[in-house]
Amino acid sequence: MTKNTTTIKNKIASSRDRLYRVALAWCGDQMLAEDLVQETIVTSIAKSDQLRNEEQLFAWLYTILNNNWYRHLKKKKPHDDLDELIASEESGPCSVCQELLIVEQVRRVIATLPAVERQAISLVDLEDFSYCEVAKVLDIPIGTVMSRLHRARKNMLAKMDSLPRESSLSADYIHRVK
Amino acid sequence: MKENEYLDDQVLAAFVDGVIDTEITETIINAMDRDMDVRERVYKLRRSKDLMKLAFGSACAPSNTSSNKKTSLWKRFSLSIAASLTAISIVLCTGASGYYFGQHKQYALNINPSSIYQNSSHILLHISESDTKQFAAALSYAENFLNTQEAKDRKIAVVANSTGLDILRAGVSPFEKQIRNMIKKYDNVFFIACANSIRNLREKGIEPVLIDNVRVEKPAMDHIISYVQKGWTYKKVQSLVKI
Repeated sequence: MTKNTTTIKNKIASSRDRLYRVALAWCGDQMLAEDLVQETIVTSIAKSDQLRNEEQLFAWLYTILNNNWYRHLKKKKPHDDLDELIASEESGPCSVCQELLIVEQVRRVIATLPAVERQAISLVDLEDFSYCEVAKVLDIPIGTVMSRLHRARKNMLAKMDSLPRESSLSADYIHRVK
Repeated sequence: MKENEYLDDQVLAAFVDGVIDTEITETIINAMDRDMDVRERVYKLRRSKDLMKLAFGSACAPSNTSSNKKTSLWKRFSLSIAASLTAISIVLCTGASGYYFGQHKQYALNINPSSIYQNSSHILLHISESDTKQFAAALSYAENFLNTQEAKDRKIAVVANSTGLDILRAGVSPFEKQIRNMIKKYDNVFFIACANSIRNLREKGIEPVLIDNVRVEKPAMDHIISYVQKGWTYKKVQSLVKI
């Protein structure tokens, strides 16, 4: 094994958390996210010699993650339109304490967005990918990236704004923080 | 028409995302100085970006080193206010659920004895679902492998996580006896239970009792990644079962 290959493999292994964040945003399920990341890492380590340009590593990894995610969706719901697929609203942690946190609200809201919108918003907002990179990863035109991103943000904010106030940070909780 | 109406949301989004050229960036900054409407639209876009980072930015894949499951609410809240971009540890690996065992039958396996075990590396079998077909497939695969000449200097590990952990649970696994016999008979077979999955069961009030000599080390993902990095051949058991 060359030194370069070893370096790439190590980089792949250490990108786990990055991949996990995005996978979680896409599928809204921690177990599934873990599974998708694992498959992505295993596949990419096995094929690491196919990576020509190390700078493209993350784009390549997200392409593999995207393929795994689509394969999963197709297997679970072969006849559904991916544009319409939303993650389960049951997904994500829901302990009483966490219900108080914005983070949980955002996760729930994101889970209600169509799969394709979740993908665009997570790659741009979490991974700071350029539109061009997202277009390559998802194999779609840049214009589509922009419109999906636009819709995702608009929907997310609208849904966040429509949430009842009492389900965000309660006065009691804020008081405790003070 | 308003002065800055040409700055549609997609242009402003490109500005917020830093994928726009300098000239338009300057135009937008000037417009923000003069026009409250543009300013608000930019802030809105920025807010959505911040919320995403807040919600997912600190999520960590389950591992021994990153299981900050019990991060305090205080810490979470402080960080969310301070940065709006970072912090908030999350609960990882909610417990396993939905246990089901079907009838214990002999299932047809998608294994071609002449084509398997061709390369010379060790083998890692991974089970993540509580599925009798998959359990049977994993054990058949392992036994077939162990009985070949090629297995003499090679190892095979069966890693179970999530609901797949059931295969290694005493009193739960329909293959308990077979696993005990395999451990007794072969030196080069290992059964490994995911530490996170065990912890998840405990948090649900279930104390998992594992079959003797099943190893519990680190989370399955850690195992799998380190084994694959060392050159082991990874096989998801799901792929061995005929659909």
